[in-house]
Amino acid sequence: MNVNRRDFLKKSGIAAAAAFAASQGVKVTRAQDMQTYYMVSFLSGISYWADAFRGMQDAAEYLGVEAVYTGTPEYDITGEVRVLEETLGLQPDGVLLTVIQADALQPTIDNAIGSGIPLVTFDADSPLSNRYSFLGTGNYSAGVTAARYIGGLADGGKAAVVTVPSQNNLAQRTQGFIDTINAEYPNIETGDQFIVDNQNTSEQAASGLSALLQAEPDIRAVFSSNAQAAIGAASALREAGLVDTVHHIGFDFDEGTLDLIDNGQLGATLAQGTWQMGFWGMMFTYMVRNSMIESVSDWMAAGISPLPPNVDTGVVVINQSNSQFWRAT
Amino acid sequence: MASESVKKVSAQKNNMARPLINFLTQLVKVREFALVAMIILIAVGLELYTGRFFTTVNLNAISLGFSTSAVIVFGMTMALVSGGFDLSVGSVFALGGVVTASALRADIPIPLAILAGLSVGLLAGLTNGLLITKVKINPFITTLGMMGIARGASLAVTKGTTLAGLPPEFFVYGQNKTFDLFNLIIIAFFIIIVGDVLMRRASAFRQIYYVGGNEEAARLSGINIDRVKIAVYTMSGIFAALAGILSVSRFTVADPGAGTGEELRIIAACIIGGCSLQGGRGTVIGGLFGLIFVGLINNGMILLRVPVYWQQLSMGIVLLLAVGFDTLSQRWQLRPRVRQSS
Amino acid sequence: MTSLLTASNITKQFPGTLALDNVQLDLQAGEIHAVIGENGAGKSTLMKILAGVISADSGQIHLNGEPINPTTPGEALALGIATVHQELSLIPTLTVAENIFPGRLPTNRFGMVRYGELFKRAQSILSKLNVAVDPRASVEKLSIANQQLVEIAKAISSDCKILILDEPTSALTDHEADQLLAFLKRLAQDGVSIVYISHKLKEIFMTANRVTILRDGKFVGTHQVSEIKPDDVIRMMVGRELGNIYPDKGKETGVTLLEVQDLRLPETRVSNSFHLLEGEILGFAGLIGSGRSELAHALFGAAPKLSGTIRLHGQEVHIHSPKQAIKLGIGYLTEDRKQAGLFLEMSLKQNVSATVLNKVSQAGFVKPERERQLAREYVQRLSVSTSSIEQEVRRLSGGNQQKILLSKWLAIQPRILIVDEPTRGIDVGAKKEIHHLLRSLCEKGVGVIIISSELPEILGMCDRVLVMHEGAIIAEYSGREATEENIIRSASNH
Repeated sequence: MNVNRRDFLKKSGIAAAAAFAASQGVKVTRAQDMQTYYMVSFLSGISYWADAFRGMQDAAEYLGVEAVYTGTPEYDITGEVRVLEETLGLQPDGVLLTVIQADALQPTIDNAIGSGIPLVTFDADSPLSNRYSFLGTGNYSAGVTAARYIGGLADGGKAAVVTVPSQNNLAQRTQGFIDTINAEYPNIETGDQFIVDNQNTSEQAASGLSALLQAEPDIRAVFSSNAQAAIGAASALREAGLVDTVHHIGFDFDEGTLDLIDNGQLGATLAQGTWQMGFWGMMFTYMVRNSMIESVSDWMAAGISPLPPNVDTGVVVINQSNSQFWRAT
Repeated sequence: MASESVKKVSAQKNNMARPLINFLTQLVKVREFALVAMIILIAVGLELYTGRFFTTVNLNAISLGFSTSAVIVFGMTMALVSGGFDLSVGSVFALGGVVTASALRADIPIPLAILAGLSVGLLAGLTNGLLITKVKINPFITTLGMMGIARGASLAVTKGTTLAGLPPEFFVYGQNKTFDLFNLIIIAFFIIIVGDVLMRRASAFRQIYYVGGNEEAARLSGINIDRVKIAVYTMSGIFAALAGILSVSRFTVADPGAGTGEELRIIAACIIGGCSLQGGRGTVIGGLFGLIFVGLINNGMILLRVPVYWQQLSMGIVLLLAVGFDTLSQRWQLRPRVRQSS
Repeated sequence: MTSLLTASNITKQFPGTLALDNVQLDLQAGEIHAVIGENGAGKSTLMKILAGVISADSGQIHLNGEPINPTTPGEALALGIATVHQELSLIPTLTVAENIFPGRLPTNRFGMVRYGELFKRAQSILSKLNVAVDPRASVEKLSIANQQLVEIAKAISSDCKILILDEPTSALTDHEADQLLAFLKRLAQDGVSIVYISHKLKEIFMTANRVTILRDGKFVGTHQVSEIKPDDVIRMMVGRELGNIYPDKGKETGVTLLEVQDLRLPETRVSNSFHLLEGEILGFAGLIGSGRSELAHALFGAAPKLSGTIRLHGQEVHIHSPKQAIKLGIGYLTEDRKQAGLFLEMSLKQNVSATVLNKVSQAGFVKPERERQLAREYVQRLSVSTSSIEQEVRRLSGGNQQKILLSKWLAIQPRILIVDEPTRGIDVGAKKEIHHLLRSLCEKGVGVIIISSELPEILGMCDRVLVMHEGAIIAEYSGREATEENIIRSASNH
């Protein structure tokens, strides 16, 4: 799970999301011999998946196949299992799946693989299943990227991290950041004592960072590991008059973070490779479906996956110099 | 609170210290006294220990931290005093912000956009009030349902993303200062003070206390219970939406996930500030003190460099200690007298 | 016959009232012993002392010659004294069987309840009682009468030697009451002694062996039922000096203030008509549950009416809410001071102003000085003893609480004031003050309706008395005609 906002989305059913999903999932009458590939998600209405599906569509167009988007509109584990089973019932040529809960979906994933349907997971994995491949953000290395961005700008002082310590993916980002700063930038001081818990809200990020800035006046850098943290921390820096003194990098992007970057209230943010997940997931399943990969003579018989089991789709630093490329894609 | 001595107090004692002692005894009896005393103690303690507490920046940061919540406190105090509560404030908070932001993005003038956000809050609150009074669903289920509906509606309006690209003039409320004081803080204090005065003095608001104190007695006293409750929940909805709008103005983006868990934080603050879950008791200013208290503990834990992994635990312990102490001291003050001479 | 239980010199003081003053009770083995007296005579207090609910300030209780002093209901039960209180003590959501054996559920060695056994035991007790109630049914689904029977089943399930019943038939129909009384007789034959509190003389003369009469917390006498007549009992119950606790009767103006015609309440078959004159005190007498308060609620707009017309000074009015009633100058002082009358946690001042917020407000804001002035005025006028008008009402004594409740209604300057049990549970001094106050209202032309279960109050206060029985006004007496005897006879439809 790389999208923090899902934590609150869990709690509610989303009416419009259903409509969105329906509009995306309407099946176009397909030509007799045209292959159809499905993307299956949960919380299918949120725009985070739109970028991944755009990538899948781009690849599908290039390959001359059809891409269909479906999923369960709610944060509903059995709902996603059901949608996946229904999708498999349509005899798809391939499936790109983001996993709501690793164990719950494993049997269904293994069934699909057993019946010869190429299936890859993206963004969130079911690592013990037989899926061909997982394409997602390496959270630790994303933290490393953030650290190197900060290290390149700040020469000294202390670095704070605004995050949710109890959330595993965010904890990995934090760890990557702290390890790298300590290893590569010894003049910058950071560590557990500089972590602020933003409890997934902008308000807590702002209050927490404000207090830490009081306790530690030498803070010169901030890494916000989720979008709410970035927005709240940016406010805290603005309200303390420290926008120009403290270097700040966030995580994920949306219109709000891009605006903050453009008006100078946020130095940079990290964009996940969601488009990449969709594009290369499509490519992977197409290649398996159409037997285009022969890593060994008969990988199916040998039980050897022809695809790389884990693909880090990486992060990209967005700052004022390149922010316009993420707008209105 | 002045003592209204109806019965002649024995006038023989012409001890000069008497008025002072009387004043102090009365002061201790004021419900918020213990809380204010604790707040002052913590603040002074933090200043002595860190030397960084009483700085403009820190005080601003703390005040900004509770400002939007303070706006909700007024509505929640009304709901609690009426004998119910409103679990939907966190979601209505998000919805108000999201609706105003959407309106702004559609180039609707700022006042109208704010009005749109407030109207949605009004609608949510009115629905709560009607369901509670006319359909007689209990406040817990009603507002829990509204919590889901309002959250769902915010997600529907935004398709799950944050809304940005709002006109900079809109940020005046949440970011600018007037006479070196953040507008947001001024607005919050204004609402708290007005709310507190209304609850204490306005006859319409007094009815809320009667309803929460004894619903049947209020009904027999000619108070329209349903109308009072509908008004209470409607206002709670409006103020939650207003807080959400102010939050958007502060953070520049409308987040459909904003305010998650806010309802419990606000209820906790109000209870700490003297509201009773049974209704009939509580002041707006008390709720503000509750917020300040919680905010101070959060702030203090970071100033005292409590490790992040221990902060939630410490917070829980401090809260229980504070409320426990307060409850015990209240019970001690309110001990029933053994016999009432007549 | 020998004495099983004797209580002697029992004295109990409550704040403001001496509830029991040197009272005695002698209970013999296997007898049904009725205890009778007016409301406030101390019957329930005496029973509560025997049941261990409260303890006496002084006095001795002996069981089989041994001194006992039960301080909790559990201790009393262990001594073989079981009690059925007036207020039901069942847990509505649990089954009948679970209610009969609370804390004594049969369990297996893992501590799990053996429900089969439980239901069997419950069934056998219910059969003994001749009660057709399924032990598996949940109590909330039962009628009040059946709940009462379950309550009795619960009491006798403990194999008690002494069973105390506080008005067990007040919620029962005649038929149900007869069955219960027959059962009590059988129980007595089996050797259980029964103490039986009742207002219903007829029942007492049908069932009891002996009767003890209490009056104003004092012991009047114990008699064999076979040796006395009902009229003797009534005389012993009421025979007291009314003194000047009641003011002189007033002179009516003869002007009709209120006229109620064919007023019918939902779920009743009868309709009632009556009128009230200016300056008159009209009494509503009857047993508890005879429909007096319900009628008052309907008149006051606090409960729905099915049909009927109400005229005020000859003009028809429609009252659908207390608010409208108040606007028309009608006040209703509830019988349930704590549950429906006062805002206990709020100040005395705020209680007084509850009905007249608009009068103490200006431009929508309560004027603190006006509100205090109002409270002070009534505190003085009714001589409420309190240290401050900011005092929480729950800290006042019952009499002072009642005065505050009354103030709330005086504040609206009523044309008609309905008072429901206006002096219940308050001391004689406050009683007298309230009575005089009500009369002084009448002298200013206010019409007062008194609903009271205390006959002396009805007789001492009222210019005219209506008697209700099962929802209907069945008798009317002028102040001169009304006597305790004829009211009691009418009230029990004798």
